[in-house]
Order: sequence, then C-alpha cells, then structure tokens
Amino acid sequence: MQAWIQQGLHGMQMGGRVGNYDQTFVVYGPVFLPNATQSKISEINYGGKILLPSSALNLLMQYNIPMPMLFKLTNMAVQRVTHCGVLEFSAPEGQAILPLWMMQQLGLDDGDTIRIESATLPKATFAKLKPMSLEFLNITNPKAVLEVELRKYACLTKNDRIPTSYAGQTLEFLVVDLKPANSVCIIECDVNLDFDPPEGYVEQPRQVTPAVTAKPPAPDASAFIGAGQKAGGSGGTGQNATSVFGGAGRRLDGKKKPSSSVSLSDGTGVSTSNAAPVANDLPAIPPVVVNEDYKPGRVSFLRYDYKRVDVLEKELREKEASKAGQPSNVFRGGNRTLRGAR
Amino acid sequence: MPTNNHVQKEKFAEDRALLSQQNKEYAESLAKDIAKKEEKDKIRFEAEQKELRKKTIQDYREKLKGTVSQGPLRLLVRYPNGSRLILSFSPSQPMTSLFDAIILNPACPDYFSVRSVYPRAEIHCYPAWYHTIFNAEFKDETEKGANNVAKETNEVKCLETIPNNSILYVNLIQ
Repeated sequence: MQAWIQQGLHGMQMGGRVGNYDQTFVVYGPVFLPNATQSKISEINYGGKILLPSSALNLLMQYNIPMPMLFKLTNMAVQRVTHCGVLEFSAPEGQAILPLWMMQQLGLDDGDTIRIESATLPKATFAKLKPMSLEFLNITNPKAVLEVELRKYACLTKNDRIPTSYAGQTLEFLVVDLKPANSVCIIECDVNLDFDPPEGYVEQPRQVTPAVTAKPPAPDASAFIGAGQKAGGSGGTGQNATSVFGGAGRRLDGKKKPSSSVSLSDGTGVSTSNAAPVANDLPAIPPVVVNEDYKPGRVSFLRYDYKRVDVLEKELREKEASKAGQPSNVFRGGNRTLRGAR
Repeated sequence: MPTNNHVQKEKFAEDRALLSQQNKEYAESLAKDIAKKEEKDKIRFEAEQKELRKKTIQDYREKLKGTVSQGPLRLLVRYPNGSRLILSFSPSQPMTSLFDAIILNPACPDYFSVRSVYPRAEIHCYPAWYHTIFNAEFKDETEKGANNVAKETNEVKCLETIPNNSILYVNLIQ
C-alpha cells in the first residue's frame, strides 16, 4: 500500500503524460494464458474484461487514467470497434487476452494485432437486449440472473453479442440499443433495461371466439292457438253474439272447400280459423296467431327460428310424397338368432 | 471528514446489502431452474427407455419369424382381441417355447400374462430378458405394491406340466 502510493506520487512528480493511452498488442484467446484453469477460462469468456501485461499498468499509471479503466478496441484491418474493461494485468508481455466472443465480434484470430486505447464512456441510462434463444423465457427470475451476470461486464457496445452462463447453458444477448451513447459504462449505474422478443419467437395468434347468436327453435303453435281460442270461446258465450256472413262457399270444380266462420262480438274482435282438413288436401299449416295479452310498459321480442310459410309447405309436401312411396310398416322388427350370446 | 466517512460507510453498507439481495435471488432462480431441467431430463430419459424396451420386443419378434413347432401336445391360446391360435409342442420343450409361440402372433400385446383355465393357474413362461424388461416397464406399479410383478420361468420346467388340449388365455397388462 505504502509502496503503491509512493509509486503514484513518483509518477505524478514526473509530470504525468498527456493525451490518451494508446498501444498495440498481439491478441490471444483465454486458452493461451499461461497456467490457465478451466474456471479462469470461463470467467474470461463469459465476461467483458480483458487481460493486459503488467507493463501496461505501469504505463497507464503515468497517464492518470480515470477509474474505472475502460478501453476501446479496434481491429485496424477491418475497422471494427468495441469496448471493454480490464480484469487483471497478468498477461504475457506484448499480449492481450480477450474473451472469445470479443475476438469473434472484432473478427480476430489468435496472433492478430489489435489497437487498444483508453476510453471514457458515459454511464448507461437505458439498454435494450435481444435474447438469442428461447431458453431465456424459461428462466424463473430473469431480472436476478441479469443483475448478477452483467456484473462481469464493465461496459456495453451497440451490436455486441454478449454471452452469459446460466444453469449449465450459454445465453447470448444482442445489444440492440443503448442510451445515452452507442457505448456506455454499466458500473455503478441505474439502467432502464428493456427486451426485444427472443430470436425465433413467434407471436401466438389470438383465438377469436365466435359470438353466440343461435336462435332457439320456435315453440309449438298450440301455445298461441290456445290463447286465441280462449278469447274466441269467451266471445262465443256472450249474450249479444251474432253470426254474420254465415254460409259456405262453393268451388266451380265441385270440390268441397274448408268451412270457416266469423264471429263478431260487441267490444272484442277475435278472428279464428277452424281448419278442417279434407281427404284430398294437404295437412294445414298452423295459422299465425297474435298474442293480444299485451300490458303497457313491457314489450318483449323473442327471436325464434321460424321458417317461411312456403318452406314449411314444401317440407310437408315432400314428407307426404315420401310417405306415399314408403313401403308398409307391416312385418317390421328385429330378428334373433339362436347364437345371440355371441 | 467524519461526516464524509460516515456517509461513505452508509453507502458501502447499502451497496453490500443490495449485492447480497441480488446474489440471493440469483441463487434461488438458479436452483429452481436446475431442478426444472433435471425433471425434464428425467422424463425424456424414461420415454427413451420405454421406446428402447418396445424395440427390444419387436426385434425379438422379427428374429422369431418363421419358426414353427410340432408335437403331440396341443394347446389353444386366446388373445385379448378375441383371436385364437392352436399350438403343437413336444412335451419335453422348455416353457420359453410357449412364450416364443405366443409372442410371435401379431395379436399378442407387448406386455402380457398367460393364464390357464383348467386347472386354474398362472403359466410362468417368461425368458430372463423379458422378465427384466417387464419389471423395468412396471417398476412404478411394483413399488406401489401392485400384483403385476412378473415371475421368471423356472428353467427346469417343461411343457409337459400343462395338460393336453388345455385352453390358455393371454391377458393384456398396461
């Protein structure tokens, strides 16, 4: 501690370098790190921090780089850029150890050259991530998972694909949008986190249930005939009942016509039709009867499944024709065999 | 200075509490998801084992195809779907010959037991491999105390223990 402070003071006394730290390194993956263990390799690969040699630390101290140390990485060959933090200063001299995803993002292979500059990034206020797998939807508490996993990243850059490790599987996220800049620092800040639908997610179409508009079948016409006849009956028993226009009509072809009568009573007018079917006539269709039991203040309209009169007539005619053509019902019945138990 | 130090200590404690809370929630979520994954893997494994057992039985049928047996011992076998089969054996043949003849018919279900009407008795004719498969298939029911436990056939037994012209019923087990 004391030595470190003295070293710092010594650096400051030297006057300190001006400008940004800028250096070129040869890039290698974590497996090339001397004495690397599997957990070390995983730690590097699932985070956003690199390893630099100790000489870089000495140089950085002279530049008075503000904490936390953030760097801009540039693949000069293809002009691709991203940003990162630093994990340790334990890389071999002249080498930078990068996570695999970062090398893929920059288009680097082991042994390539990279330019590393110090960078100052604003604190993130908003981030939108796109999960690259549907497995993200199965996580019990995605907020808690991301809070812990994103600690391993010092900063985010737009269009980066960052991997995290969870429950023995790798979950990748594409950085879709960032505020207030395209590269932000995510250390000690409050980020408004948003998600795009995961890759391969298909919106479930909504099931539109059809409205129930079925009409109940029409009740039997006798329900209304009874009311009508009752009114007619009461009219018939009146003392002042008179019969007008009595008599029967005659047809020119001599066939008998169904008889009908009209009763007229004082005060009440009821019209009923006594349809008497004759031998050579079709069964009559129930007449239309009006329900006159109406009370003011309440009107109800029931939508029955009525059929048109002509449709009803046609059905009756067809039934009559089919009945005439049908064989007799005599000798109808099921047969039995002695092996009925089988 | 003391005020600044106090504020810093307070912030540090607050940050540490937040970190601890996040770690706790992460651990809970991880434990739950790992358990869920293990359950799913177990179900898939059981389904694979079931398919493997079924395939073993089908392969055995294919291997048996075309074999016939002759002899003075005549047995009538009835299958669950109502079809019948008349078999002829030599009395000195082993019990597994009856098993082979029964399972060769397409009407035979994958898992079955054989019962004789007169005298009323269970016919134990399973070979060892089928006994293993049967117990694995109905392992859960076995643990619940069900009486579907298959009994391995006695190798020294021969078909002569079954009376001539017996009627055997094949019962479906599922």
